[in-house]
Amino acid sequence: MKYILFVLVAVLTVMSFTAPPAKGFAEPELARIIFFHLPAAFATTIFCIVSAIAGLQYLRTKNWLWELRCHASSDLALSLGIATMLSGMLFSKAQWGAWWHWDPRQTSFLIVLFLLAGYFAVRMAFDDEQLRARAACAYATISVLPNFFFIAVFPRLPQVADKSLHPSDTVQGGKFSGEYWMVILPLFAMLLIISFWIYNMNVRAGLLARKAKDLDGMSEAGAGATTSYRVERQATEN
Amino acid sequence: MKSTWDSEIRAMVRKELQCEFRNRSGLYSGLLLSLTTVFVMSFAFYGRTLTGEGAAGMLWAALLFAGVGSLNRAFVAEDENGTGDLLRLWARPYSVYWGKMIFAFLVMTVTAFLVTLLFVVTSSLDVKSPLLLVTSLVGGCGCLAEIVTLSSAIVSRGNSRSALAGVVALPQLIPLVALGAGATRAAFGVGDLGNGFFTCVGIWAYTLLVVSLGPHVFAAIWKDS
Repeated sequence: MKYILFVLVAVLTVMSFTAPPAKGFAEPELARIIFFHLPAAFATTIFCIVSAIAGLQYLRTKNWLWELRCHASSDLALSLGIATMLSGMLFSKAQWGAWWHWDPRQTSFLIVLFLLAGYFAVRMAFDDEQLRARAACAYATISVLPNFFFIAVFPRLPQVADKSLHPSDTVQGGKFSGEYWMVILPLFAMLLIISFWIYNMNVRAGLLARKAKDLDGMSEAGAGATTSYRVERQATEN
Repeated sequence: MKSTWDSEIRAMVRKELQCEFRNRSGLYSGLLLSLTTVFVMSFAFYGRTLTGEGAAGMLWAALLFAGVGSLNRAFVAEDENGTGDLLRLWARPYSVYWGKMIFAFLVMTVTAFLVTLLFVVTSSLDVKSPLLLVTSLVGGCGCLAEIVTLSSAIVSRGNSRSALAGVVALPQLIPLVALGAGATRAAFGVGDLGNGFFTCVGIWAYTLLVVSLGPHVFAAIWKDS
């Protein structure tokens, strides 16, 4: 699997450089940043939705697996969101001459990042495991509404869309050539495969950590000879 | 005798109103916070006439801070005073939620209308569409009350909750401020009035979405088991 992905990454990287320069941009050669920027933005949206669904499922069922899924997807949403923001800033510098323009799309995506980062602030504020899971999942669930607003609604409001430099009409209006889509869509698919692979590993690692913790607790209650028990006893004796 | 939903909600609102009338801190602090925000922001317009665009933004920023300032009153105060567990035993989660929400809505509405009235009179602003201004303020207050109540419930048992409450609530309220400023700008005569009403529908839609999700999320986090 890893080797196939490696080959795919190599092939798509080559394809991204062989695609013709995009028309309608100040620096057509540098518009290739979109090859990474657009799939990362789509993937961020997908993981925001996964995080909200997992959060809601945890609140309904109280099954830890959903909490782990919510955490893993929020983690990926934030990472991909940061990648989208950084590649967007690079694009802004190359095409419009400055890293930051206070463009409505840039600003609204920055708020999406704040919303995603808020999940981790909530998680860090609770010592009790159950309260932490509940609060974080509730936050992930309700934050899907403002996230959706900032990603899908706000940039399309008539009074905002006219003032934005963001080339949304290029993507939605079908102004990209077929060669561009031939690179963007496979890149998006590949980014999703890699992201879900990482997501799956995160969930499995979380499950193992939970199992280890449960086993530790059980042996502590039974024989009283686990590592944590010994460390605690040693500390008391000293 | 078994209590009903509506009697529980009424009792919750009554309890909140009695607590508020006992010390009146909520309304006073909300009003002061929003007025201070308006006057601090007015320094940016020193020596110049305040336009409808600037006024709409200032008004919603003031309401946002009034809402965030009242975050601690909803559930954080209950857990700090040790009355949260009593509420958990006494009433259904939905009743607690709606009682708190209705009270927050009343306080926010009074604050919003007083601030707007003072703001419009002192700045000599011309309100072209009072209907649009009122409907967007009422819808906005509903959304503010809803998000403030829910955010307060989420952080109520965490560490450094006051700071956290702001982190949780502020980004969720920004869509409301964006829509509210758009609708109020049209009410002050800037831009197309039709667009303003369209934005006002957006405020109500966002409020309804949050209201339809909020009680269920609250019920799941409020229960102890």
